[in-house]
Amino acid sequence: MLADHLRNIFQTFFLGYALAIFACYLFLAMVSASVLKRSTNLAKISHYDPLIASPFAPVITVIAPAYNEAVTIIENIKALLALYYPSFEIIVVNDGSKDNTLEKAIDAFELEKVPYVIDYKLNCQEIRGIYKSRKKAFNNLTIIDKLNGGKADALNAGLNVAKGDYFISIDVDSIIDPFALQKLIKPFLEETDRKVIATGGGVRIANSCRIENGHLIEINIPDKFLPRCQVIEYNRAFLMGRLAWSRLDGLLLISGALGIFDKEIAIAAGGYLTKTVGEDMELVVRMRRYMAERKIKYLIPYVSDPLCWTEAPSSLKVLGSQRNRWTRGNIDTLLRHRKVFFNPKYGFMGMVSHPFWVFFEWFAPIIEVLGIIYFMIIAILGQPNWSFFFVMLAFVYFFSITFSTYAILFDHLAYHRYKKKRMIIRLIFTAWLEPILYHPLNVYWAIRGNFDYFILKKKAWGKMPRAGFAKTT
Amino acid sequence: MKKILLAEDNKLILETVAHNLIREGYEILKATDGKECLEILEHTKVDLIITDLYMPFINGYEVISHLRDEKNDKTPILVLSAGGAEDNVLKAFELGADDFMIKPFSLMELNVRVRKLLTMKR
Amino acid sequence: MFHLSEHLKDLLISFGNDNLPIFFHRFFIRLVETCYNYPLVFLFILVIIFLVINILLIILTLYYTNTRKNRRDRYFSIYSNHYEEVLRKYLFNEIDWDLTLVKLKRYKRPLNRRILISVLVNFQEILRGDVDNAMSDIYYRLGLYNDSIRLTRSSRFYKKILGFRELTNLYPKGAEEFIEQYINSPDDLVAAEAQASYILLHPENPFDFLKKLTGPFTRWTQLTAFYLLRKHPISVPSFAGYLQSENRNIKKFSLRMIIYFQQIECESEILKMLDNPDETVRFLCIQSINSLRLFSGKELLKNRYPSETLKNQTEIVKALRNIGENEDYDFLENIIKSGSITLQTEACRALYYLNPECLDRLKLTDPKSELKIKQFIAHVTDQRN
Repeated sequence: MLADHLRNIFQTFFLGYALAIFACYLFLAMVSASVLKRSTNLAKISHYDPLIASPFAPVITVIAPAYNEAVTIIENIKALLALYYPSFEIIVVNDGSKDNTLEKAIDAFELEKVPYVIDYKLNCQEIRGIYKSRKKAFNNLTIIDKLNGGKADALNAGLNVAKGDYFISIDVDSIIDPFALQKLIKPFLEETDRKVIATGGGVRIANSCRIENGHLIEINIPDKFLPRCQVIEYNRAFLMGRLAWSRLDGLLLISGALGIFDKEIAIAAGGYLTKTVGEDMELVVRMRRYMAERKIKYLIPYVSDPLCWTEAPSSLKVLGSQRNRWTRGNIDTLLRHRKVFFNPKYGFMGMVSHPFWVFFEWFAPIIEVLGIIYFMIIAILGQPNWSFFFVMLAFVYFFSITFSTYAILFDHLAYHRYKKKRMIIRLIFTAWLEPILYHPLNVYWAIRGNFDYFILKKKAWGKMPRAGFAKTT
Repeated sequence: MKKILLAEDNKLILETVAHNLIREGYEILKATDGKECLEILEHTKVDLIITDLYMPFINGYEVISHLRDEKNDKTPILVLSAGGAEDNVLKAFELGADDFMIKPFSLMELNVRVRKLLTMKR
Repeated sequence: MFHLSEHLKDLLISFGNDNLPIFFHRFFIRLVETCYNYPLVFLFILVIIFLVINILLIILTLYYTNTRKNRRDRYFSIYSNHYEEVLRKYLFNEIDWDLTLVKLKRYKRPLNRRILISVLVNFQEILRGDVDNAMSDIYYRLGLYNDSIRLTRSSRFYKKILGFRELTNLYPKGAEEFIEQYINSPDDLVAAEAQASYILLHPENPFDFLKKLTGPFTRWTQLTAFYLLRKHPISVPSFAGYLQSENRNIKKFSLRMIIYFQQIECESEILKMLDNPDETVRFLCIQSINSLRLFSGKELLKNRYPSETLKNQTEIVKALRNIGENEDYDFLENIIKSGSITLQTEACRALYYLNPECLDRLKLTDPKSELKIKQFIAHVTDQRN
């Protein structure tokens, strides 16, 4: 009798949870669709000449931390120099590289150490030197040489030297669309009564695309299965998730690969936190709290255009460690800011975003595994309801591929990047395989992330320098 | 016939200016980005370079600075750009550009300036 | 509830008995029974069927729109290239108007008219002078403004904006009648476009609409306004009058324009702005005192200094570099002794450019700071910093 009772409770819980998560995603997708429609229409008429030609264009600082990037550093800096914007500076932070990253840059751009008094507005590892070019053509390039301290520390060092009103944090190894600066700054210039404090941009996968000198020449579908799954995953995350969250005023995560922030507020809020692996999400949450606690009305819009192309991990090992890190980063941010959880003071972020992240991002893989374990116990003890089980399984499967197909459709209608039929067909097939082959891996890595965080206490980057790959979602 | 190299990524400007200058009796070489521009200059001698500031791969500033500093090339350079902010104009001149025109521009004025730059060289 | 569903079940069975072929009866009854035994399972199966149909529909849409988009892109690029070519020839008088009309193939089709308009706008955007008029002329002669006016009546915001923009660029008069009603449109973007048209339509008094403005006048619109001001022969008004506006964005815009056009006659109005509650307004105010070299504002700035934000304090010190005099040395020295590093750097810069000997005096009074001052001087004298 008690067993029956328990069984009922468990089943209702798992079913209710699954339905709730699906309902949320469905809702987000619908919001996204409407935002995407408006922004695509807006893109048709956007006209940037008044900004490009203007002496009043705000100065933007591009901060790119680099660690052991000697092979690509020159190409990458050259690509940054070719960005299409009237007034910007580039700050490359050499985060104590063990190779000759700095020397290569010094040679290529004729840099020399300049006398510089640094105002350490934010704490960071010691800055050994500031390098600027003797050549006027590169007068907007600065290289900071500092002791190793991780990505967040490097970004803080960059912030201490930045001259712009706004800064963009990027990964030096990802490809930035030449028009990214003007598109990202636009929401700031359009602010009305609510102060715009940050804006995120769309990130996509560059695997198998043709790249020359840091410029994207031809867009392709990744040849390998894992990156192809990530194409669909990124479409879902960016076009169906973030877009909706920003519309609802609850965006918590701006990808570390590309985001633009109001420098003054970022510094006032304390800059990047070095003690976490999820420094990008943590900063956004902290800036939001900073504004909410001072009761200043603010906004974090989001530009859905693909503005940054990044090489996705194509080996299980690298992908696994990336996902493990993301999981730990999310948990860390959510726990650090647990005060926000269901706190009406923080508005939508407190009442919806933060709890949503806790229940549906952090807990989802855990509950999924618990569900599987529960079912196995029932199966071993006998009397499983097989027809119900299979129908549920089919439902989950078809729901997720419908969702993915919609993500492909959204991307197609809004940006039309994959123009060949063959590409679209391959993507759709990937979407069908993804829930069976790719999703379980993700669940496993997420569980490992939880395990590493709580049991092994791996909370910070630690001594290990950041991996070469971009952190993106 | 005088040779002019046009480096510009906007196809409409490139074609229109080229058409205009051909009518004026010049020979025109076209480049759609900074890299192509420098490649052409590697093997061809031109009498005037008209360049945009924002171009893919290598921007106009770098083109100018590369020619003036590395190649010690004194070919007159006319900058034709949308970014008319004072800093941009100044930087272009400091790097060694000889003239600057801001988009939108008048073709008549362009012709006069081109003629002047070409005679100045002599 | 139970009764009702039992009733429904009976109804379904009798419906089957009456309407379905006999060999189907047993199967139908079994189906209905199963559904009633496993209602949840049945519901999910229905949803799955729905999802599958959905997926098939999306795939069809993908297939169809891909072909359509590719074809449309190709059509667009072919015709816009073609029109550009023809118009170029016309511009350089290589072909006359009649031949141009013949060569502008299919220009009567609505889609082609759109392509043609966009080509005209593109031309107009890059060229000025003689050509500029030629484009407007073609636009008018082919009656393309009717197409744009039709767009401004569309309920879709982006079509409305597009229509406005085309009119603004090529035939501002076409928008004359209805422009005023959109100046305060609830859609900010439509309003911004209407304001741009207004500026071009009233070259003598381009910014009069600001007095009636209820909308925000964002920085983006300000950039557009300034762009038009430089691109077209529009007289620049004195912005002193707009400084009194209630709207802080208009205040900021006016200050930026005062700085850019060096409108020294606005001096007294600028000084009044110094205690404005908005930080950025004050910031721009300090900047204009600096840029216009308003020596009368110097004492006001120094008095304000203690109560200002760091950003504005920095700006005040920067201003003193240009409007400072002997009597301000102590003020700057105090900052070097007490301020944050950024302030110290700027104060050093100001002192260095006012009178480098002052810094020597500072070194002597406090020998410990000598090294620091040297570093500061090295920093501020390197042009790249």
